[in-house]
Amino acid sequence: MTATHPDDPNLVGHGRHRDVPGQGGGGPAPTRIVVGYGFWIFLLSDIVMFSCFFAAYAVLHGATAGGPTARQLFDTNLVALETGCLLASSFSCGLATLAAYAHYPVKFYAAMSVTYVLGLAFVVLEVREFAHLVSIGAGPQRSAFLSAFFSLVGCHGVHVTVGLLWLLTMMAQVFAKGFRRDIMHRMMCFSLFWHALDIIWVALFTVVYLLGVIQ
Amino acid sequence: MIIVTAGVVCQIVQLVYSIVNREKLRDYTGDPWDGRSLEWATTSPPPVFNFAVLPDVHGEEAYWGLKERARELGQLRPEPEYQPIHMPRNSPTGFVCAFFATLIGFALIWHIWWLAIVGLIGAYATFVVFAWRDVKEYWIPAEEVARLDRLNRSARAEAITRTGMAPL
Repeated sequence: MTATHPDDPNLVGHGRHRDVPGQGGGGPAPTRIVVGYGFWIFLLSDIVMFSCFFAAYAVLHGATAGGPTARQLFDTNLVALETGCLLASSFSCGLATLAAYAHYPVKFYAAMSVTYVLGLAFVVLEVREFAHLVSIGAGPQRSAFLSAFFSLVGCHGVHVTVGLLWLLTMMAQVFAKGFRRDIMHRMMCFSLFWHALDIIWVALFTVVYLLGVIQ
Repeated sequence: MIIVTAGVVCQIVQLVYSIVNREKLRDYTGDPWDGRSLEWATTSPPPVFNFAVLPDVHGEEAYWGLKERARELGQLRPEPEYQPIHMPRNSPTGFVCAFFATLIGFALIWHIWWLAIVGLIGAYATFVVFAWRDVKEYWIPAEEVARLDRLNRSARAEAITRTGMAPL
């Protein structure tokens, strides 16, 4: 028997029922779409995790146990510098993505290097801030407020650090394999990751630092 | 106490009965409960590609609709046109990374810093090896898809003649 039966339900996705929306219509999506979709799910799960840390911080930010408060601890100039570094690195990451799609190796490496330096500057500033807090007795063990602060901000910092490692790997991959299609899919994922970290930092900057200094 | 004991006894009875009558009760169709949704449409265990051809879904209980139609016609649907299937290659990366992640977690909890560093390096190296692969997909030829699906179909056709019911 051959597939001549007009109602064969198995033939959807193989050229029939192209007008049917949703499941099966037109066959499987291109790899770029599947990869992007999967990475978005990862990012959303990451954001779910961050929202838990945000919730913990929101509940505990007043629980200073007689220790220093947010207002006494945070140096807004330093945080402004960190924010500037991270936002600028997102811009250069966008430039790197454009250069990669246009297959300009020199511009790609330059923009990625700028992204790396700015990201590294962010991490260094954050580590210095943490070291300063610990040195004046405001470490994560001082109060529930500081535990929540170090968890939330540290978790973001670890993400940026891992992102920097990924960035170097990404450059090495482009160097070794060129602007191949699957490498470009990874570049798209890296760019999504980096921008997502930026979005989380904007929320973090607002909730932790700005609100902390106002209160 | 009595309820829990009754539950345990029921479980033992079920196990013994299932083992004693295993030949009579063995399921060859992949659809022992006359299921309504698509997971029952493939074999058990399923082939790596799950479905030989993409099923058409017009609503809930898609498999039930297929079976209703087969019952009306008194036979299986005609054999579809098989096409090669694109599959990702198997990789142990997830397992290896999970191993190193466990090392990292253990080492961080007990402050064994050298072990945490070993775990981090191992996980990262696994990631890079995985990212460096050049061939990551393969094709299952249409003949192989057809062979496996025909086995599935013949099991279901046998179930029709045996029970008088059309599972597909």
